[in-house]
Amino acid sequence: MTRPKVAIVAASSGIGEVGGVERLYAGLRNALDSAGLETEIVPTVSDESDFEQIKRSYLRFYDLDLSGFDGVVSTKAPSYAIRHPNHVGYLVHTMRVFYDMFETEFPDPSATLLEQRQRIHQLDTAALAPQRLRHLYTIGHEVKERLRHHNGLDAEVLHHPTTLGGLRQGKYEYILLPGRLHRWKRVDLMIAAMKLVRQPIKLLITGTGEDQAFFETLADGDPRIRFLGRVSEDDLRALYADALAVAFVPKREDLGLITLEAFGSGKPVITCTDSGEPSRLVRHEESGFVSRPDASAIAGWVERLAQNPELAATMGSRGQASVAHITWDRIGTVLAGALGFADPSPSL
Amino acid sequence: MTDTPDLDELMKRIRAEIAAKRAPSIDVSSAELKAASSGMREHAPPDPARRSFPARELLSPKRNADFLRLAYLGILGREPDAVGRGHYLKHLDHGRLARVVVLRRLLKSAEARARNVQVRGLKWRFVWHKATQHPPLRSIVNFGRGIRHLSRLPRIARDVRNFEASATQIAQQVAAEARVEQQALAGPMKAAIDKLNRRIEPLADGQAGLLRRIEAVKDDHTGLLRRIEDTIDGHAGFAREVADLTHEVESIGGDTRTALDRLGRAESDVTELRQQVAQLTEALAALHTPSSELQQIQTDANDLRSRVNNHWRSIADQKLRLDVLLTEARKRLPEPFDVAQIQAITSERSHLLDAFYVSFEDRYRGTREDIKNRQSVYLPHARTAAEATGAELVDIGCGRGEWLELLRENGLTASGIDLNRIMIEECHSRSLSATLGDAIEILKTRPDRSLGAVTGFHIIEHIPFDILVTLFDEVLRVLKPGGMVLFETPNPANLLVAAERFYMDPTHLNPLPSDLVSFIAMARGFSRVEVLELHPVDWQRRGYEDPMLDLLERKLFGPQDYSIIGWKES
Repeated sequence: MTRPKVAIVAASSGIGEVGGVERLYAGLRNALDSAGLETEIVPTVSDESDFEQIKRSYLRFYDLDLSGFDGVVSTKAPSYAIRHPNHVGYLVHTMRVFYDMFETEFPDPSATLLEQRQRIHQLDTAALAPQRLRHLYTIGHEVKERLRHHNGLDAEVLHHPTTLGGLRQGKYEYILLPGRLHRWKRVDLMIAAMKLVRQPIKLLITGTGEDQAFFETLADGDPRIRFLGRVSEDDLRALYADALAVAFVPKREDLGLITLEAFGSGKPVITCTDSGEPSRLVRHEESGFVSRPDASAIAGWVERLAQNPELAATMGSRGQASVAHITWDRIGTVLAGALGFADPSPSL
Repeated sequence: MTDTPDLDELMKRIRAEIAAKRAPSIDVSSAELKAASSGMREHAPPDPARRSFPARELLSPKRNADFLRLAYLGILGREPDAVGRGHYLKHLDHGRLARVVVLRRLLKSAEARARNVQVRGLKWRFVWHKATQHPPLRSIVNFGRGIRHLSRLPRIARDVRNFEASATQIAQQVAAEARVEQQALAGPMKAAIDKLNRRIEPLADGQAGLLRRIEAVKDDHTGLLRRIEDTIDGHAGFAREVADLTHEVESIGGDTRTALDRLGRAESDVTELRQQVAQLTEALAALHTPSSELQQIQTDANDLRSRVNNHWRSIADQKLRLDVLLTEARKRLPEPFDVAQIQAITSERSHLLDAFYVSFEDRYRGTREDIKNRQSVYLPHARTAAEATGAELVDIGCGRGEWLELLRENGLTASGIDLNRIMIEECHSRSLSATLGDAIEILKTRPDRSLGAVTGFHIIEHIPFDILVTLFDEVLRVLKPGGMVLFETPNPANLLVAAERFYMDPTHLNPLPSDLVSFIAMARGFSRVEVLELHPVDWQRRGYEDPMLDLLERKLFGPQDYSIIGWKES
């Protein structure tokens, strides 16, 4: 008998950039394949450069004809505008600039901007309405809370694992800060904290981004802080393997695969109380530290780990155990079930 | 949440907004651009019936192509033919031919004359044209044209600017839409490429697999070649080894001859030895016959044994006589004995056999150390009782005080009771606390709940059933809560004990099965009654497969004694 055909509706930026969300699509496809569905990623351009393009993007997804598929899974905004009778949402996030990042990005908004925000909220609330979707999942509690607060919608949390495989545990030597060099990731906070740390422990920072120059200026003068730039997946695995701990201190992060990658390598995570999902995944003093978001507090936790690598190893293994249940297989099963295609002969 | 409009309605609104923005707003002067780009359509073909045209009309089209077409249609009544069009257009565009000249040539053609077409006002235009070919008219006309062009320059400039502006705007829009279109295509294309890649990967893997297998086969081939070479080498080695072996066999031959010589020598040695052994055997046989000395010793021993028996019997006899004497004396004395005397005499009777018992015990129960070793198994019980009650332990029938001594060695307070005066004296000689008297009588003098434990080793088989029950009752009364009773007695489950050994002591009454005694203990109020079976015969268990033999072995050589232990609950 033929397998049901399912489309993963993906919003691509059109520049060919492969970031975390592209790996998520690949992971979702493999998970649904294993659950017995014939899955395809259907990318459509979503241009968020200005409001005109945003409207057109919503319309493009709305007009997309996927009637040849037996089910669709929508992901990032505005892919959920799609029309299909068997539609399950796995919401990565809405356009954050109109939600929680609005005040940060536009401290003094004009009337036009306010009206645009109002329209986006209306669109999202209408597009994600329960009549249009069989089931709505989110990647974390942050997104679920935002949906409830701004759009009055209920969703179910379904964490997904990282697609970075082959993680392993090695020595415990330095603090690793992976990710993009963007102000929302608050690399400056970590750099300020390191300057207060007295031990000669190193801070290795990977990635590139628009705020790179600013961060490099801040770190200037401290020989312990090194910027490694963009690293390959193999290098990243090796960096995780020998880290003493992984620092991840963003502002209200939606999921933060970095937490999962750190735990997968048996490393504790230093995060902040306002970092969003990581502050929920990390249990304070058990699998890492959930610190106050100021440099001296973070410095204190770093020093504590630097003086006691065995503690880091113990916390790391606790962290690993705490997320062992987050697997792609489980996601495949859950989403297939939500679409109404529970696998009759589950693979062992 | 407030009522949000339907998604379909919101999308309709967005679609309308986008459509409105699509039509670009262009500058008014660009109307001229439109006119210019669609100039062809302005000129409708003239009415085919017309035969007269004003020159002005035919000369009006701006573009040469349109002019030519109108001229042909008007004058010749047809579209321009390819040859004529090509010829005239080329000359017109290069400026080598004037339009009036073209009109005149067309009019002069046979076709036109047949149609009888007239173009009014052509003649003077033609004349003027010819005139202006030569100076000075040519210069004046050219000058006039120059001025006219100059005056038009500002307008042309403005037109150009507008054109540029709108062209740029259109170009931008087109570029934007093209980008979006391209991106829209990129998506599906990427999906298709992705799909193809996924199909290719397994093929590439398959190919890699095949290559690996080819490599493996090559390796096998190389390996096989190597093994063949080794085998050939091996054969050469074998030849060498065979030569070595032949050499060894020869040397072994030499060794064998030497060995045979030595064997011959050894045989003669053996014969000598045999002779010596025969001699020794004779001597040994001689020893076995008993010498007369030994026989004498044996006879003496038998003699002594019978004399000892005689002494034994005479002593017994004496005792009997003494017994009779005492009885008679008692009958015949003038005054009755006083109570003390009577008691002394009567109690003396009971001690008649004391000495007998002591020697009996010495012979049959074993040494003092043996007994203490066997009884040390009860030490934990004794300690439990002592700690639970904090009171002393009493041993009934304490005999020579082995148990009392063992308890003292382990720090536990105990005293004994016995009917045998010699036994009591022996206890006292070892500084053990012991009282002469009847156990039940003495227990009756003790207050309720005063003792930690009451023990009795091989005493209950000496007393009748009803006294045994009374004994249990008294013990229960005098024990403190948490106290213990312990009696050891021969085990009739062992047939040899039940039929023979039990009766070695003539004062034993009858064997007591363990079930019976434990029932009495429980019935009289003791708790947690348990039976410990002890002292199996020193016999090597063979573990027979035949169930009868196995049962027999157990019945004959199993535990010879058991003890009953009970506790007083609070």
